[in-house]
Amino acid sequence: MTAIMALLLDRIKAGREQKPGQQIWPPTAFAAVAAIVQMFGLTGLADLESERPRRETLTPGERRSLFPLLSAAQYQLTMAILQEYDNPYLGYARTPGEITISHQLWQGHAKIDPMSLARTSLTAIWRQQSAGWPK
Amino acid sequence: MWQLLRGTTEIIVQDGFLYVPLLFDPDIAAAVAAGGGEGRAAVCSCEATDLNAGPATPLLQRQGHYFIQSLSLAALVDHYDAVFPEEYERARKACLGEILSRLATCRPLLDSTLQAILFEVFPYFLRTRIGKKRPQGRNVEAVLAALAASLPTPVRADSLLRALAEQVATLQGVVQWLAARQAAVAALPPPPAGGPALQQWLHQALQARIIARELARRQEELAALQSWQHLPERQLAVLLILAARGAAEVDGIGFCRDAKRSGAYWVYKRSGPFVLQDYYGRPYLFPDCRVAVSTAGPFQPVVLDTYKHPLLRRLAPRQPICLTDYQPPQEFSAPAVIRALQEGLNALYYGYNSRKRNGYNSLDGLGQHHSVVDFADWRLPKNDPRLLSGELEVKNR
Repeated sequence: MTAIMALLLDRIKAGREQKPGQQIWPPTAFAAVAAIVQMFGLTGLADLESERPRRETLTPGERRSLFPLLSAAQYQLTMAILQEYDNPYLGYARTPGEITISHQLWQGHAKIDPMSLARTSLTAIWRQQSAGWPK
Repeated sequence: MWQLLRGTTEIIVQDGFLYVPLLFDPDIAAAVAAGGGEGRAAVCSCEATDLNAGPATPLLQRQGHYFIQSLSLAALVDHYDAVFPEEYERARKACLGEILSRLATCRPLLDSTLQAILFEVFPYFLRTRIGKKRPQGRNVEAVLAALAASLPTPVRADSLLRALAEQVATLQGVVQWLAARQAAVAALPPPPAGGPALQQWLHQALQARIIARELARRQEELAALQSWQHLPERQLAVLLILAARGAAEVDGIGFCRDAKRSGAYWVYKRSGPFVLQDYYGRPYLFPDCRVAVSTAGPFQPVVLDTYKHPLLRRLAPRQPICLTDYQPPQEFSAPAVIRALQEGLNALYYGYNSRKRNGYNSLDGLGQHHSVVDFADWRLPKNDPRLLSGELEVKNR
């Protein structure tokens, strides 16, 4: 292999390393909480802790809107939840329970990478962290 | 739409506009807070305006709830047929149920395409002119007189005339019925502020709109039919026969229905027999053919008959004529048809150059392209009496 070929290969490898890989669209906390409020029909902060039977998670057909619009009551509840449980993981919550979990998770483990948060549910991460699995 | 009005969503009507509850996100909430005030609050910098109702602010505050301006009621009623065509058709059938069966037999005597053919294209080619100047506008009576002369006499159209009289009587009855209904629904109250009464008001407004539109349409049709009734009986009979047949020909210019496309016609002009000569001066007799253009477009002249010519690709019917500097128009009009016919005839007469041997085929079988048709069977002797007497003209001499 000539020196020029080796140089070219190095440049190609370096170029590939510099290219951004898969990028995660950062979910906004408002969009996540608004979707939960709309889909689960929450009416108050107490609904987050209630034990009444409800659906497990959002179905794929109910993907959350990027720019949700809410009625006045739903908007007030969404803003109240955001104020109460404000944390960087809130945008990854998919169920009412995960809203509270996200707060606890952030208080205990503040450095979970966004790729893990996007791929795995907050409930599963919380169980892993609680069991003391390697981070 | 009716679901929206019927539903639980609270709707307010003010200044002729529907106001629906405002939906929020952080940006909208910030904008409302920035422009917030008591009563009517102008949040957006752009103010919605209505020509009838005057300027109106896009946001209302009632009992602590915000409402955003949406549709204008007048615009909703005006454009209901375009926005909700199926619902409009249902409402129309419900509103005009009594007269729709009577209207089924009422059809315009001539459609606009046939009128343009008869009274704009035909006069251009027919010798209806008086003096040197071509008559301007529609020369209805002269065209009908020429058509009547071309039809076999006597023209009998008693049944058609009776049907026309019945149609006029039916339309008069329908117009009277519609006028009475319009008088009944004309006094429409102002729209209610909201609630179930709004749905009822919109239904009434829609009915009034349907009746007004139908009345205008039927009055126009009645006036058109009555204008034809003023014609002399023989000419009116000719017109009725033409409308029923959908085909006519006078002095080489004619039209017929396009069997493949509904509502379209072929307008044609006969070329008459003519002679072209090849490179060696040998004459070829081209028989009569119909150069035509379809009113449905494209406005490219074709030869309707099975025909061969140097500017046609092969021996087949409905072949487009090869034209170099002709851009066919995009929409139907009488001038477009006239120009297409003239371009086609001129191309057949004068388009072939025996020295250049242009076109798809050459008369003598030589040239750049291989000829797929042979013209030897149309060759004439040079001393043909019709040529010597001038009865046949060599066009490309």
